[in-house]
Amino acid sequence: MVILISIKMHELTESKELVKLLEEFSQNGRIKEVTLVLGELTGLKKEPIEFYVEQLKKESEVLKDQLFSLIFIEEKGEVICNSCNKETTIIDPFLFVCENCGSQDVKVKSGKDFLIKEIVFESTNSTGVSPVV
Amino acid sequence: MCEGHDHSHDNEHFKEEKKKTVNISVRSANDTIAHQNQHFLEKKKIFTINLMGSPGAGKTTFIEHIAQHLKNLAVIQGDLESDVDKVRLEKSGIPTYQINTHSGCHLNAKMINEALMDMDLKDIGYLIIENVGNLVCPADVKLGQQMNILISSTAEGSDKPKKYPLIFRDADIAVISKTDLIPYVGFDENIYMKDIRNIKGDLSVHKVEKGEPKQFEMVAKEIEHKKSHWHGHSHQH
Repeated sequence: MVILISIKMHELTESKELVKLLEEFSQNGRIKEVTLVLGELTGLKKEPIEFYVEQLKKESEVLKDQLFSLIFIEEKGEVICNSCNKETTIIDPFLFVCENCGSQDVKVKSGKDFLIKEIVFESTNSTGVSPVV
Repeated sequence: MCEGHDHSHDNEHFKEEKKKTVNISVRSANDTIAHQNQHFLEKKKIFTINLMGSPGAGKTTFIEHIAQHLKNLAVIQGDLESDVDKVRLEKSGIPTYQINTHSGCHLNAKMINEALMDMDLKDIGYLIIENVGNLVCPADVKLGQQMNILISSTAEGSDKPKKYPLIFRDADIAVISKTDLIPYVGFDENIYMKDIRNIKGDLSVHKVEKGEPKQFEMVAKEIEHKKSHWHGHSHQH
């Protein structure tokens, strides 16, 4: 139970940062869709992030009336082996082992990111000219 | 005129989509400030340690003991609500700055930046940032530190490396505390060490117990060694 609370708190902090960034980006227009990259080695889970963003949006003057969706791209954990120089995908995210030679002398290449990859805006054309004739 | 067409949208805004590639880390704001902290601490020659561990692992006891061996030590103390540890450390003559995170489960770079601006850092050579008691996330959030130390007590059980591998992976030194409790808490050192070696083969591990200053001195020596290397490294031209 304690662990569960701790994990949720962790995602709350990250979600606050995410919402802050989205508030800044919303100066470019109303946000329609946000694509996020979530690395499997971050320890973050998408469900609590979705939940917190939804709650935090309600408290945000800028975002509260914007109905955007979050799309998550999961980023696999990948390592580069210092022993055999091969690049491999981690099978067990808790064990950083080269899947080619079994060495633990590896450098993490990917899987630790939590990124905003792409934002789709509803851009508003205010010329008053109808696109349909 | 376009008779027969619906002109109700004339002179109104219409919507079209605009895609923007961003590729910005959600932690970018924190990382920028962490980098500034690191630069500031480097200029002041203050070697900074992020001290992590569960609540009750013995982080404050560790600081009390290590302060006997590390000269000119100051502490930034992270806690959800109280200043109990700050009062305790100041009783031992260790200058301590309190940060209360309230709902936050870890310290962040902005909190440290504000503390650094507020502290009297004259003659300080070492800074220990005692993070909020938590094994999940403190290592992921950069503060501007030069090294991470993880304290894990025998009373927490031998399964901690297996359950929280990421924090062990990010540690530069792991300290097993309360080793005098091993006979009472069923701690299996073999299992613990085997799991640590699976996670990070070359992790430096120390064993300590309260009232054994020599053991803490060994950890202090390793920190001093890292500091001497750090200074040498940062002053290379």
